[in-house]
Amino acid sequence: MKQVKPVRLAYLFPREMSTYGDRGNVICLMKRMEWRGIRCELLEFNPGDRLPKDIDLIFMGGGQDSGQRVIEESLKTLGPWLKDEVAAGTPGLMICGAYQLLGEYFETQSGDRLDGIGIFDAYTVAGKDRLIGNIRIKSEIFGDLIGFENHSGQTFLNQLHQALGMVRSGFGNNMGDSTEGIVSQHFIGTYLHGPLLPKNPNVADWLIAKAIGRTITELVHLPDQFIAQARSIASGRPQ
Amino acid sequence: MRLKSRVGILGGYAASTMMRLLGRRSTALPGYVAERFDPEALQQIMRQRNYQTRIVVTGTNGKTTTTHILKTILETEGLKVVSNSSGSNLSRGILTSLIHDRRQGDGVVLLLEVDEASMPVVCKAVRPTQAIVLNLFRDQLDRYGEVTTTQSYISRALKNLPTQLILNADDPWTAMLGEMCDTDDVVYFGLDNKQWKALDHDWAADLPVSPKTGAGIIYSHRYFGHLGVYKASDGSYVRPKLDLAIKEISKSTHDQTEITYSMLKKQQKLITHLSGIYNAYNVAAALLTSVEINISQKVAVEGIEKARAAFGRQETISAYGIDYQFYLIKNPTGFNQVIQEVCLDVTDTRPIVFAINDNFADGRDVSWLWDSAIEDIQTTGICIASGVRAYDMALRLQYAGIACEVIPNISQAIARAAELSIDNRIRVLPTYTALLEIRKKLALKLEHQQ
Repeated sequence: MKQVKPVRLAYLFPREMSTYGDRGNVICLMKRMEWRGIRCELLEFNPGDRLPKDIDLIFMGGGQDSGQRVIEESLKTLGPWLKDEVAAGTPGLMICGAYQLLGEYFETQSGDRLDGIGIFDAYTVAGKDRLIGNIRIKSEIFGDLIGFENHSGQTFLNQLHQALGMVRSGFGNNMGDSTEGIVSQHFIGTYLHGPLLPKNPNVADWLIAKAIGRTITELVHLPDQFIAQARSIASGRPQ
Repeated sequence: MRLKSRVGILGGYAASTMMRLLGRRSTALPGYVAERFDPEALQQIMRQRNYQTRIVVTGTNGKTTTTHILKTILETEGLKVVSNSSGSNLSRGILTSLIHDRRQGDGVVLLLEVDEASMPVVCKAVRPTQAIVLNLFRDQLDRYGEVTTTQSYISRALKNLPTQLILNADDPWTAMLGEMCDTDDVVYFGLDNKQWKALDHDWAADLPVSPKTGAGIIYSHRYFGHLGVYKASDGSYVRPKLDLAIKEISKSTHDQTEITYSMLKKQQKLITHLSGIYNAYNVAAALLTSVEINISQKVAVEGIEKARAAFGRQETISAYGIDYQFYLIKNPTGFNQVIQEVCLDVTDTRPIVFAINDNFADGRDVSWLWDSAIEDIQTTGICIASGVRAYDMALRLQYAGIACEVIPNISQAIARAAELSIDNRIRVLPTYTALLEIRKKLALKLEHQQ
């Protein structure tokens, strides 16, 4: 297949929204494209920047509370653009804080509701406990996914069937319904840090395939020599 | 004194004696026993003790080394030092040190390395006269939450105490503690030389905001992580003026570093066996503190020159004709500093063993490997990924384009590195429990050798 233009990957708020190795997801996407000879261009979007154009793939990670406050305003102006991208079928991965911010609202401990972007049909309620530890989920699309979660907000899906997967060990979206994450169009929201993509390369390949309008089976196969052991050891570690 | 405290502390003494009879020296058990009887045992024991100078050292990286340098200076001055230098820096470990070492009174200084989260309870009991805060980074977040949380432990601990603060001005998270604790009794140390630059792939920045307005912090220059020259975007906060500024760091011989510093408007030099920018910060903190408690610069500089690397920090152990050089890694910033220090020379042929464990004491989360500047590593020595999470490390190296062997068993990995070494020297970058594991094995080897 001949590639006319490079895949344009937008990395939203890399400074403020990249915690617990989230940048590893971007490293993973770029390398897996490079290894296959797919040209890729990285665009880092920071507060105050102009809206990115002609984007094929979008990533945003989790942040600390202080970081999330810094990007709040800027994210609001980004909202309509993000909605258009999702509607157009652009693939994206939203981790932890990003996942929460793209929901309907976030309810703080004092009961105030902060508006979200409204892309994911879900809402988050501040919790007292921090849900921390190794997590494994089973996803219909991707099979077993492995990661590390660390969040106090608990997210509830309005339509449970949109869940990315069901928790096998760990907490997931909340302490009640065993769901984890969400998939809406080609956008994935999830609490899985770790980072997610290097240890779950089929998710990375799914995003890449969507970005270039192909199916996963059409992508060049990569040997991934360490992945099986890395996954099996991580799955056996205590929570 | 309350009965239960007396029982508690006596219990602690008893546990300490018992452990000694068993031929062991516990770093935390006696304190644990005492605290079980009385949670305020530390406060109670401090009421019986009299130390005119009480110094606490806290911060993410460099606590052990800085405490060690300062201890050497104080001893050079002829003072006696009661300290928790065996390394247990939670309240029970500190209590244990006080149970073991009952010296007090004139000429005895209390010097404690304190875990960030233990600062409130320890400071309440100790009421430090000086507190050194070295830096605050993402570390073991799976235990503490966020950097803001760690910062609040320290400000809560020191607010309303008549403690003098000795702070790192280049780290906004620590520098701001001056304002947060509402005190004027603060001195600052930092670097003043823009030749030092962060690694190309140094992303280990935890960006703070202005303590007054919440505006973002912007940098005109970055030394590493979020350390550098900065101000708030709305001008509401600027990096404080330096009372001690490091001007130059240069290697004078292979195990000696010369530091040029300026203090009290005079430029001077000192020699240290601890290399790297991060140790320059540790040296600066110890030197500035010494001067603040009226030790002459001459004595302080003499003490600094005597200090050697602390447990696992640039420590070399020789066994069976091999020099094992250890560089403890536990978070992205520490990892980046080690890379800056020993992994940038492409002609360096020493094998590198990355020994990555994820036991409780290491932190269960290994995602920090991805926040570290692995892409900057340059070496002709072979890389070996080892430890419980050997394959996670291998994956990280693979994505950075660095080939490696994978040998999860740490002893086998070390043996393989020794076999591959051209000059019988190897670099070992272990996490905390991996370091303990290797040292135990080497200690056995050394015993056999004798």
